[in-house]
Amino acid sequence: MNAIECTITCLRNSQMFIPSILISVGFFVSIFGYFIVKDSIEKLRFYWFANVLALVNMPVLFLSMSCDMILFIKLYLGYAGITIAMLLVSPFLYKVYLKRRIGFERDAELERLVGVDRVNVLNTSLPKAFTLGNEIFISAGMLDLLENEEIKAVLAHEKFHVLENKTPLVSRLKYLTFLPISQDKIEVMADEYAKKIAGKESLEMARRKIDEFYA
Amino acid sequence: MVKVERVEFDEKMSPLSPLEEKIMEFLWKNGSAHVSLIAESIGAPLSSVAATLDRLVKNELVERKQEKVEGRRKFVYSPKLSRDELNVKFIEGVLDKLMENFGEVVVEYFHKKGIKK
Repeated sequence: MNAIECTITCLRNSQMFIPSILISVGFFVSIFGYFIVKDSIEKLRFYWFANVLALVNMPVLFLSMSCDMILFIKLYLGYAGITIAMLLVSPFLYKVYLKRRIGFERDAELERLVGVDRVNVLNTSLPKAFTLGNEIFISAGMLDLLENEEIKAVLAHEKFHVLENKTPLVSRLKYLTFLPISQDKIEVMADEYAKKIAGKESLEMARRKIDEFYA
Repeated sequence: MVKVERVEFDEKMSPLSPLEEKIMEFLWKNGSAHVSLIAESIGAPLSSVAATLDRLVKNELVERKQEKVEGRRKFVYSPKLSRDELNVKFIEGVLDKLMENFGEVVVEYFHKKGIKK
């Protein structure tokens, strides 16, 4: 019997077989929901749900094991520990780097405009915008280049990333459950969200201006 | 190793790169300007001008000021040093480095030059 056959036999004979099946079904329903809903925020919710179920399923599977799977579990725990440590430390380190290298200042006006706890204006003439944890960074160059409505669209796009990061653990869980959502997909979702808040034209105009700037 | 030592000693010694030179030239002549106007006037791509301005701001040759125009932010750039001040700063930097590394030789050289005069 190889490891996979063993796993299947173990599961079938265990008392945890039914709970595990239920959780797995819930998982597949969430994935299905993720693909069929249109609204970005709803999508995010389904995605998060699938991740939580996948994570819950792990101890359930573990408890139902009567065979020796300890090597796999050790490997996974090692991986999970390192990943979580890196995910917690990296935004902090990057922020320190940004502060030193480029410099930024908190901006209350933009925070009010978009409704995010923290928006920082980066001290550079190149148009840039990105999100780090729960903080949005937008550059002086971006504010300079775009009209107010377009700035709002850019900030709304970034706000989606803040929501994504705030949705309990969604950004981190994906590394533990091996259920990656592609970055392109997230960007599309963020754009949908921005269109809803600031309008399609503003977002497209902003994108065109940025492309022209770097052309 | 140190910035000053990377200066190329050809006929035209300058602390500025060609694009920096163009931008500073424009700012010295016109006082202050918006990045799009600078790029248009000197005929360089916006992104290169913006990146170069960042460097000039960081090295404290240029100042970036925020302005509110009809409720939106605009940034204007103005020179922080005049051409002469920049030259003085540059030469002092070079001489400081020379003094640091070859102190006695440099002092002797200027001493000789002084006597000749």
